[in-house]
Amino acid sequence: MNDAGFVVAAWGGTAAVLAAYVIRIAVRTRRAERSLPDGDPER
Amino acid sequence: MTGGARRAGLLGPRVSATTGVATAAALVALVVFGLAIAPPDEIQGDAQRIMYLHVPAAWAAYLAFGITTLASILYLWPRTRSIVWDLVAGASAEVGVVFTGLTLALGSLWARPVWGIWWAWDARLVTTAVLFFLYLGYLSLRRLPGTAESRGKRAAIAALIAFIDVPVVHFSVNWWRTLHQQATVFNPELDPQIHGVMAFTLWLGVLAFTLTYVYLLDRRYRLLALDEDREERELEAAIRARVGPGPAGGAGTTAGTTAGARAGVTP
Repeated sequence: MNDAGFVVAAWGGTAAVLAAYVIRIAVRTRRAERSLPDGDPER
Repeated sequence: MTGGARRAGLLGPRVSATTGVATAAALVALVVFGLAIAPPDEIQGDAQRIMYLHVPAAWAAYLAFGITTLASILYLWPRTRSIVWDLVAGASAEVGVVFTGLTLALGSLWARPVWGIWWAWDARLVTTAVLFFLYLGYLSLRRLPGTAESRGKRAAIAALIAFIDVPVVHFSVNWWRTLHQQATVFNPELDPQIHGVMAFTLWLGVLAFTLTYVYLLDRRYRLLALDEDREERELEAAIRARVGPGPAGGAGTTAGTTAGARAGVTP
């Protein structure tokens, strides 16, 4: 792999990790909100 | 702070949304500057572009663990003790672990083309790996059963112990002879060794990752608060089911009863 390959892996990997983490939090938050007795909108 | 107020997150919906937009904009700007505008390094070539992520990720990890430590101190201090600080510490530590993992992975991807190796048993690398596992241990400790108070106290003490490694990581390149280069910006002489567009891009990276940290902390805190509320509700329901309605026909339990019962009921 040349330098460009490492750069693409680093930037692409970082974007993928951060996006996956944000999505995971969002999904779990949505699930937790649904279980609230008042149905909770964010407040 | 009440459960409902905790659920709103640290920043509140409006500020959180604004932070999210600002974070996305800063990250897009970083991509443009880091991959297109900043020139390749004279010696390292394009591989140096990984530094625009590696250094900010390390900074964000330091910041996250610093906030975890501060929140832990505020939790341990009787006058400021609040579950909010415990949740802030837990949320910040998890985000810090993500950034530390990124720091290690990005460093490895940079080291292969520049050093010719993926990993070296170098003081900076080893102390950073130790930091990663220390805070993984901290997160595991938080999952052990017990009352909210006992969990908060033991986690706070563990956080203070784990943080000892942060200055060791930072100064490892000064204290020992290492393969890892010395600090480019915050070196002992406070004489930055990076200039022009490359320096601007590095600072942009630090800003973008700081905003990312703040956004993730707020979102993760909110999720922890929601989980905490759910646990409290489930516990109260379990107690009601076991004890039955009270003498006045009320089904509620006092907070004291709930808190006292947690130690026995929580698996």
